[in-house]
Amino acid sequence: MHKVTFFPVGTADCYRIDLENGKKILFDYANMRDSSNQYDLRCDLPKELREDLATAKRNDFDVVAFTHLDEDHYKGATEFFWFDHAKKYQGDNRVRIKVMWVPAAVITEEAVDKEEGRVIRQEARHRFKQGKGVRVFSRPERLKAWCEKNGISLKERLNIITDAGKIAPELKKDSDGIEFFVHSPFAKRMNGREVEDRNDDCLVMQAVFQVAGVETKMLLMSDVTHEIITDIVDVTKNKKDRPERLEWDIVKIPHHCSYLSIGPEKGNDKTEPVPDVAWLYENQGADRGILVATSDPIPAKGSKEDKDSYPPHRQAANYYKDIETQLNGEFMVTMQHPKKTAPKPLVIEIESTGATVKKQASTAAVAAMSAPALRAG
Amino acid sequence: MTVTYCDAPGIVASIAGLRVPKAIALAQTLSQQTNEYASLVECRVTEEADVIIFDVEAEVPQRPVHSINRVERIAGIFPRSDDSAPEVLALRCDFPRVPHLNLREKELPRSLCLYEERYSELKRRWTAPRFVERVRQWLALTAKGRLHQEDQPLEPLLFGYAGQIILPRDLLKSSTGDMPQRLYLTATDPQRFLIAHCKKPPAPVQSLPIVVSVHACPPQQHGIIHRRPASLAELAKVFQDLGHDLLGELRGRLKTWWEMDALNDDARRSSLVLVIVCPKLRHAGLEPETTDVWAFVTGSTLEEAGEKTGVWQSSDGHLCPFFVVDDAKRGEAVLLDLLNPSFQLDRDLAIKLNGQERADTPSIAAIGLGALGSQVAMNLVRSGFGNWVFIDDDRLMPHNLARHALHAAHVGWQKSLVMAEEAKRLVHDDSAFSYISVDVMNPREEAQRISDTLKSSDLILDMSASVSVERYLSLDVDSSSRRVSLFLTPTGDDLVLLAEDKKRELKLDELEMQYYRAIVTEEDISGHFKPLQRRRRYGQSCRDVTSTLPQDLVALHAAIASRAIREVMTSDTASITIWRADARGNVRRVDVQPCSTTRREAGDWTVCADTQLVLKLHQLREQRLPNETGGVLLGSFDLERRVVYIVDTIPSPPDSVEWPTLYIRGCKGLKTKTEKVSRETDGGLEYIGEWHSHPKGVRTTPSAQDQQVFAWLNELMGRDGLPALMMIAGDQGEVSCFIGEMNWMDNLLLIPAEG
Repeated sequence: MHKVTFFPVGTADCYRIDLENGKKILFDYANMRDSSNQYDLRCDLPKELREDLATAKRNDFDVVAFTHLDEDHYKGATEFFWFDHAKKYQGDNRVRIKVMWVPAAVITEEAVDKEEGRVIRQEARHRFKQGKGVRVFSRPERLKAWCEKNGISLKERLNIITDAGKIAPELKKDSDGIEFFVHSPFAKRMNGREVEDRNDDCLVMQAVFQVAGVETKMLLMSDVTHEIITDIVDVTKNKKDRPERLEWDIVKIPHHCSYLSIGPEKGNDKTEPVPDVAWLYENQGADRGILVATSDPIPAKGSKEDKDSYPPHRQAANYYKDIETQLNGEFMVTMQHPKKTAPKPLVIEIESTGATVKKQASTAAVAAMSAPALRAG
Repeated sequence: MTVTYCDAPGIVASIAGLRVPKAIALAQTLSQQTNEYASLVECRVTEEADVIIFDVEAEVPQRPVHSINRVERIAGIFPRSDDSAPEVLALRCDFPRVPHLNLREKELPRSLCLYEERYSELKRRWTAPRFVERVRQWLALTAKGRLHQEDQPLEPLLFGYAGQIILPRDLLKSSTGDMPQRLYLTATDPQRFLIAHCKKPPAPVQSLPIVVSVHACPPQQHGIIHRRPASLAELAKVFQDLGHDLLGELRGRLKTWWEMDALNDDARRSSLVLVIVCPKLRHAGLEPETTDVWAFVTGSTLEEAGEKTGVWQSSDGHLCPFFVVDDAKRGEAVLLDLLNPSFQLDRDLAIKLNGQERADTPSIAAIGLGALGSQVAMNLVRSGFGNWVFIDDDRLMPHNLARHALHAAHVGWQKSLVMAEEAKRLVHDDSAFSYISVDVMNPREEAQRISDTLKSSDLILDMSASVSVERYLSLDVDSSSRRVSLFLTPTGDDLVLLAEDKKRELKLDELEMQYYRAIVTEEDISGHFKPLQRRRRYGQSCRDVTSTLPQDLVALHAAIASRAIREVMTSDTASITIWRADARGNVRRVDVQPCSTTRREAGDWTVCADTQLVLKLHQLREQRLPNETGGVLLGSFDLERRVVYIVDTIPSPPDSVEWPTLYIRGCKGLKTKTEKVSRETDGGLEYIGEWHSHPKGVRTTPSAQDQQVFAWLNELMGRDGLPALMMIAGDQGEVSCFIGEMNWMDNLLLIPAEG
């Protein structure tokens, strides 16, 4: 059994994949909780992660992916992880990263406004220079200039670079029960730009779990916009004719349920999807598909939050709810699970019967106690 | 996707309108929303029950084995009497057929079989939140196809029977339908518990004659019966849907039986019972793994059943079959009552139920069926172990019942006979059990059978609690079979098992002697033979005595002994084992390592000694060199067979004279010590003679002085009618032994190398 755990960290991303063979993969890290506010319902992320590692008797992750350098995908990471590039970020209490996954932009981008983002960039660069402990997702040529400038041989780094359309070599379907197919970053991009648009260089993947020959597909959409989705669909479906790479049983909804990941217009009550987005959700979703929005609760109509331009957007949620109905599936919001007043990590187990959302009632002891006690005689 | 729901019973009510405490608790729990995955829909009330309708959300996987929805609507029906578990209905109209449903007269809404325990057990722990969780768990496991784990046996898919019926073990094999299968029903409860017998039970037992017709349907992946058919016509419809013509088959049989003249008055007036056999597959394409068996008692005699299915009409007591079956009558009037059939126990099932992996059936001649013997044998029979010949000439007396495996109904009968009959009845295997009701030592006209039995058995199991029987079996019976002796000490505290090795290099009588030595030397079993309990007289004759012995100790040791016998049969070596039960209920096991023995002719006697004794004599000699030493010998005479067992020695008393060329045995403390040994072994060991050592380099031929001592000893022992016995120990393990007469030669014991 594999397990995916989405942490309720507000409108931010952090989810962990626990493989049956014990490997642990973390996608993003965002400790958004304000520890001085006792009413903050967002989880104490480092505590949750540390408890899990302690149970597994380890202090590292096999892979930690930073899908892009926005704060809601790395906040607090420099206090939690061990970084090789500076003593400052080392200490017994810090959690080590065996392999760091980053899109090319994390290496090449110069303008990172937040200090923590710069630290992560430094670490990724350090590992890339060392030639180990990192995988950079990119078209290799894109890194050429940066390599030359930094006096590194690109040729000697090719083994830690993976282009779109390939499988990330750290994990294998046969031995690990999972593979990660890379959708983005991909080659198409605007020419001659000064500053790279970070979301354009988001790490987007399809994870394919395998249990007893049964596959469960999960789309990891990071923060991509509808334009990028359109590009991905275009490449994958039309140019490469590999629509199965966009099939999903579980989808991590892009950009915290933002309407911009569906279409250009927010809409009054529902965002209308652009055609390729519609195709992705309506055609490619499996029966009983699970849609997970990593965000605060969906705002009620007319509320203060509803008027806010930041996601989550009620209109986007309504679109996903339509998909839920259509697929007989389940639309879930991390800060609403199991209820708004007391969110808990959202756990999805993956077995030969596909994905199952764990729904442990808060009367939890009950489940254990209600099994019959056997008596022989 | 719209979902339609079946109607739940009752009229809508508020929580305040409910009357059953459990229903009220559930409604309140649901309305308080303490479980975020369950919510109240409405409450209803009927004459007899309160009904709570609620939605639950369960952990349903994306690719469910059974198509359970994420949210299901459930009705819990709580009877006012609270004497049975609340019925739990899944209200969705297209709720799938799944394992663990209750059988109802209507198929929908489906009734979930939530609990396998009895409601009375459940009540102690029942709470409304737990009930909700149980429903959620049932749905989640059913969705994953795990309510039955893959490694669990398939169970009947549906439950809910009017009563029980016990059928003969081989009914399905023997009943081909060619001839009417006639059985006789007795009832321990006319409505609820019926037993079918092959033979009509003798008067005054009342029995109902029946004819059983067995019908098989093609293998199914799921059960075939999803609601309780009320009539033959309805049952036939179920079969018809599977492409099987049950009605035609039954009609054909009735007609054939009539044509074959098999329907005499008795048969015609017998009630018809239908047994339906439904082989079940775990997965399509696999071999059937289990078979569901359904038994329907019809309210009709065979004659009536024929009329009601249009096979014949009856006039003036004669059956007149129609040339063409009257198809208007399809058994609508043949009413059915569903019974839960069980089959009599057989050996295979007994083995399984005892957790044994395979049949283990050595042939066993069991001698002695007293308290211990009967209970040990029955334990093993119940576990499917062994093919048995029971040998005992005793009859069961009322006082035996206090500690015997047999019952009051058997009083007056030969124990061996009843044991065999009971064993046959238990596991329904006539060939595995027989008896010879004689004294094994005096078999008279059964001599040949006894001899054949003892020769052909894999194991001769002596449970006679008699030393003479044990010696007889060990020495006087011509058979290469291994012997095992089992007995209790008189208090019942200790159980003793003496087991020969498979090649019989160590025989029972030799093991008995080593056991005696252990009683004297092993601290763990000190006090083995406590003074005998007061004997109880149960009859008029002087021999009508029996000992007092608690049944709990007999049962405890019988349980240990039956396990030990299985253990012995898996090993080829000899063993001596003693189990001691203490007053607190602890049992300690003491294993005594048997050592090899030697036999030597001396005059017209056979001397039997073992390596441990010889070793001890040599150690004592070594300690005293260059002086001589000696002591008394302990052992046992078997005067009948002229065998003397030399087992142990009491070393040289302190007042002995030990010189390099002379030994005069003293006597200080000797009498006390000898008596103690004799008492501790219940007379098993006694004073039997003398031994002394010779100095280094001197052979074990008797000296002139030795001759004199021997003559004195002969005179002394002769007063008890016993021979003199003397051993002389010399260099390198040489020991000579003289009994009754002494010449000038040595007479060396040949001691085999240990191991």
